[in-house]
Amino acid sequence: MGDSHPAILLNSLTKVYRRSHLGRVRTTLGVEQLSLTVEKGEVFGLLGLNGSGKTTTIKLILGLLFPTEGTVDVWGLRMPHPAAKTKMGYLPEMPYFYRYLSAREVLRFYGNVSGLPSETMGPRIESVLKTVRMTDHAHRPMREYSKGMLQRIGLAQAMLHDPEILIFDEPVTGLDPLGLKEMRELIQSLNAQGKTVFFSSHSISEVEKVCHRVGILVKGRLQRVISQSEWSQTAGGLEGLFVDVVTSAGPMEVR
Amino acid sequence: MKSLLSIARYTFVQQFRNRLYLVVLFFGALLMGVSLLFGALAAEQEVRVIFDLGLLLTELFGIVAVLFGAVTLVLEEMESKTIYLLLTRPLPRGFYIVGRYLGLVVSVVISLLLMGVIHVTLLGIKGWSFDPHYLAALPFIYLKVCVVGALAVFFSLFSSSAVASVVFTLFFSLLGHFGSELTFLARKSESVLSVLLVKTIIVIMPNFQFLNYRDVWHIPGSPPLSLWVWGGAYAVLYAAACLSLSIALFSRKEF
Repeated sequence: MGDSHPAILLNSLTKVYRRSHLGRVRTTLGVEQLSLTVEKGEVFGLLGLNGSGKTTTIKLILGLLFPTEGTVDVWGLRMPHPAAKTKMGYLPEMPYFYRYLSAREVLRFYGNVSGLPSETMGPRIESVLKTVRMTDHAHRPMREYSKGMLQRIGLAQAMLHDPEILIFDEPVTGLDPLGLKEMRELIQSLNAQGKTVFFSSHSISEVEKVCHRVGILVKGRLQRVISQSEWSQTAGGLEGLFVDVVTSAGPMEVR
Repeated sequence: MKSLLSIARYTFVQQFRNRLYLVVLFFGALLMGVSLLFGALAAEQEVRVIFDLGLLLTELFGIVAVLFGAVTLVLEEMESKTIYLLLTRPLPRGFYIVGRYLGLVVSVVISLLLMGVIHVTLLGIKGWSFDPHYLAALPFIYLKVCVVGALAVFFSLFSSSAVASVVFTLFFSLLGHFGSELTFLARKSESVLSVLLVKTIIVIMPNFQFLNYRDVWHIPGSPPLSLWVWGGAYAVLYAAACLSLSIALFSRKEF
């Protein structure tokens, strides 16, 4: 797991979903021939319309889905490699937790499963709870939490084991303006600590503010990777480039 | 190993905080009280009726509790997506299945011990003089519960519906009580195909004949050593086979 390897390397990644019903097999394309390199310390945004393959890509990186073709390497380790998983933190689009446990119990549980040493567990839990401003509510069962509070605990569990790579699926969806600002600041702070951040989003304005590079997915294909310097020098900014890429890829299908 | 024990521990905590589980436990205790009523109707056989009925209710409660526990724990976890945050950590999938199973079985066995205490108290009130057969009967009930729990975990992964999982497990558990009848049927049948079919069923179904202590406790010196050895070995091997199949299914499952 050395620095010579990119943080994430996707090589000709293809995912085809097969669903069979009464003997009939239906296939749907998730992503196709997706190749991408995310370097250490980079903030990379994955943009795309609904059904473009953003969540599929993230699940393939995390090992929740298995590729039909191609490979995923994290720090040079072929996923789903346990050593690579210790270096990754994941925030799902809508984090779900065990209703009967309190936030502290949930974090201790995830800490144990992540292999966090017992002596650092307590201070680490308190530190992430403080970061997401949930210390005062951490004793309550999670069934009593609001959506915003669940999102905060979602972030806390993603950062708990101090991972090198943070993968967020639509982290700004449904956040109020204050929440958006906090999320932006958190991503920038994590990046300042040398962390690699990979996230998907619909929000071009937010992606534009924090990312070094952006990949645009259209119908499961990575159409273009754009760097910050490119969109900052373009009149229409990232939004203009995104619209150009999506429209030039042909009419959208309902997927 | 730490992560396996952690999964088992939190499954145990979850179970005891689950309202549905507490309701089942309450009804178990209530039914014990009802056995007093049946005992009163049996006049001079009162203690015998409370004794037999109590053991039957303990077994039924154990089977219902482990069945619903297994189905809701695994299926709910997949449906509620709490599993995402576990499987993106360095946790071998087999550990997840075994940890869940151990936590569940331990929580049910502790409930059965509580029911046993209530039962013995009721019997004591009615002037029952302690019978060591009682202590021998309980471990065989626990072994049955372990087998049914392992079956339920397998069916909850095999099927995507909670109802189907419950029905399949109940069907297997019921047939498991008719091992000698099925053997008789195979012996009497003249068709090679039906003999093969029945013999296959006999092998696949759990054979609770090995664990029916009630059938042999009138024999002096019971339980015979062979029942302990064969019963224990059979239950452990059958549960291990079910869990191995569950792990094989779960390892290939995508989320």
